Amino acid sequence: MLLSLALILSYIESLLPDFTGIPGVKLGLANSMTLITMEIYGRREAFIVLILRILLTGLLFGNMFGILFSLSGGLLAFLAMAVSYGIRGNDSSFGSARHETEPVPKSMPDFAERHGAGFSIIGVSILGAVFHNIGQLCAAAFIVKELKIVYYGPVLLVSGLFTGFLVGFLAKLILPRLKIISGKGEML
Amino acid sequence: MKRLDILAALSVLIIAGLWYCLGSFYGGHGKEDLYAVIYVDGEVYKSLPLDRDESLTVKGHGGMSCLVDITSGRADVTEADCPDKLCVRQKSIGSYGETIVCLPARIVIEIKGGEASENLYDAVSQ
Repeated sequence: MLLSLALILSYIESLLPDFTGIPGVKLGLANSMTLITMEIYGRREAFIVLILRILLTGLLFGNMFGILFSLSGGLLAFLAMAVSYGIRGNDSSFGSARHETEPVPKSMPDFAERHGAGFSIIGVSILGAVFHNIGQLCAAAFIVKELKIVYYGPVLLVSGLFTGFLVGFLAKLILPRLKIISGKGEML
Repeated sequence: MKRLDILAALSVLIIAGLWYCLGSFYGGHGKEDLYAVIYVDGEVYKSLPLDRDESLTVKGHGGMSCLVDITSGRADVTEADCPDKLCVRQKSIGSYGETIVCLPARIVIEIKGGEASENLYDAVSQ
């Protein structure tokens, strides 16, 4: 179900006009679903949803060529998100839509206890967005064989910051409400 | 937003800033680098560097011509004998990618960077 939500988000986003003239700057709303899946079901499921979403979006709404770009951005983004998610610590922004039996990942016992440190979902999202853009930039430079494209870097990084924040905030809003809807934070 | 988030966001900002500085340092579009490339009927007619003031009458399709002026690093069409004179009314161009077009005469003037202009083997001189 989350996959279909992600697809719808991708589609709606594709309908939006190009707000900035800059190629590659997009909201990436569908990534909110990746984040939510990651929190509720875990990283493996989130990965599957991501891959399927990219493939289906390309097949249904876009061109096959765009899939290559989306994949390069998406895979790198997932890597960044998976790693930062693993460093998340004990943070309420994840909405505890999951069971409370696993508050803190085993990877960070003492550090998290002491500082409540780690990334919040917003941080995960920001890193995801930023790395997504980096991945797409590299793919574009590779395909067009034009190194000068790299000059786009700073713009894409900053745009990733903003969109990552927005999408992360969106996920942060949705997660606790999913718990309310489903009653106990059990499977949707 | 946790501390680590802010740290990550700031790091991204700093990296973006550094990246930008590196970019301007190595690449920056200096005026010496730019050329006004004149196309007639889709073929390269002549390529003029923007850093040298020059005037050139370009003979286009159907015997129509326009006068291309390069001053202070910008290219402009100042006179033309085409019917609509839209080319003259278009503003002067100076940055990469900008164009001036004269449709009746099929003349297109586009600003391109240095490297691209080096491959213009079929420049026909006046």
